[in-house]
Amino acid sequence: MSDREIKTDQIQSALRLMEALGGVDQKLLLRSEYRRKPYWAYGSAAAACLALVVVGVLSWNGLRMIWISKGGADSSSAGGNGYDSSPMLADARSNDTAESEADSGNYSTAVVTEDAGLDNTESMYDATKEDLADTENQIQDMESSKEHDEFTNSTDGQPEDNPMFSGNREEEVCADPRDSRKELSEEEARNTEVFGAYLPKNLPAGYTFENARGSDSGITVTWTRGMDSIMISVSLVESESTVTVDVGKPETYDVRLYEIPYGETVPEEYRQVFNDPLFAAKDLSLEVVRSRMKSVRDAGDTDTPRGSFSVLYPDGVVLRFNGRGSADEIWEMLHP
Amino acid sequence: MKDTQILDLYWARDEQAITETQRSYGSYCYSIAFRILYDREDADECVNDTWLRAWNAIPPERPRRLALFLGTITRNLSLDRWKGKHAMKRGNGSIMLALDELAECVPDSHSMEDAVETAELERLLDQFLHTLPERECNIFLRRYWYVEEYSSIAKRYGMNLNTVKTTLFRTRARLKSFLEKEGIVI
Repeated sequence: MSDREIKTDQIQSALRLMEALGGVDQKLLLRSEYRRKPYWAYGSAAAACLALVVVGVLSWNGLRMIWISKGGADSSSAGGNGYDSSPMLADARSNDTAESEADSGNYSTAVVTEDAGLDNTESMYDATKEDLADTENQIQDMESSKEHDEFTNSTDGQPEDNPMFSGNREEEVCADPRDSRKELSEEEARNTEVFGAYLPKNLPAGYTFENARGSDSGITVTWTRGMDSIMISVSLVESESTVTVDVGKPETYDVRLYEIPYGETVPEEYRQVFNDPLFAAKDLSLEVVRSRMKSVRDAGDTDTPRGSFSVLYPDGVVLRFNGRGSADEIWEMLHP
Repeated sequence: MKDTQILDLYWARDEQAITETQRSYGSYCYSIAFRILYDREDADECVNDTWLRAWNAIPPERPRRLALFLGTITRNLSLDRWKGKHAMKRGNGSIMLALDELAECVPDSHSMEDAVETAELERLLDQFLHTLPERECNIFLRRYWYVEEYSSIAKRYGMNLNTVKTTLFRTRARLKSFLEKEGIVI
């Protein structure tokens, strides 16, 4: 059977699956119609809450000022705290309490699908305070699942900006305070669905697990060996139209061809690829790995070769490597 | 006009039912058809055929959820039209991409047994979807029932685009595993 015939068969089968979805439980379809309200839509409720809080604070402080100006001598409280028994303050407190209770009650809002022509469809969800908290969690998830470019390469190729040459860069990147992804153990990272399977099973001798972080969009794991480290990030390719490096053009990625600072030696048209090359998995070889590893003598640092590159697997998974080791060690790690 | 009132018109064989249906659900059905067919004229024709089918089906049908009833008809008509018109041509809107993705779910089976019956496949898919967490199920349906773009799904649920992609990737893998365990030949 030719490739075209195989592909045709696969599409036919996929079409059968798609058609078979026509029989799905309508409750599931209805449930999928839910649309998250945009954040600004919560603004009116949030603004009202904020206004109430501000009014509450101002009125409380105002009443305190009045009480203080009156000397606060009317207290009959055993505790000697005049505020506790002031009828005005008690009223203010009770009002605050009532308002805050009303305020912290439900924000019941019918979330009706906005799909055109579905005006008659019954409203499906009430947006409650839990939903608002859920929204905030989702904001955090969204921020934490953004692709942090932990291998950020300076485009001017200056050694101090280039993670390939700054001994501390990997640690700084690892400790990025903006990274709020979930912390994982090594076992959890390796058991992460989809991504865990791409982590190297064997690290070069002497490397031990340092830390790992993960989210729905990927995982990052760091191993260390004294001052050396290896960081592996696994995620999905961002765009279906991503282009991989042509290994037949070493001038676009081979660090051995250029002197540091790369900003002055690497031609402008190659720089973007040079700084962050993405190789197709089928093109990765010991020679390619060698082309990306370089030993740099930094005072106070090891001279272990260091390098970075990414690998795109056929199923759309991208593995990013940034770390230190001989080319043979790194090749053995990624291609046991 | 409420759904119940529109249905009453159908049952009364009042042609105003079609006008009201179009007014209420024209855009909804059109968007389903267009995402599959990526052609305005074809989408319009499918929508018009939907009204005819609905007119012929109601009564005796009295769908509880008119929108989904109509949407399902439109979807089926659109898929049939797409099959007939485009065959294996590529590059026609997002449906081709969706089919490429669904092809990953087809079990690696070279069994000589007959392919599963449609009704059984529908039942199994429904069963599979009920095993999914709500979010995963919603995203899967938006992608493969409604043929929505990733960005639309992400916007709908307030999610990161990559999260949508990853979620679908995992769900497809699960579906394939599920179908293989059931010994399905498609």
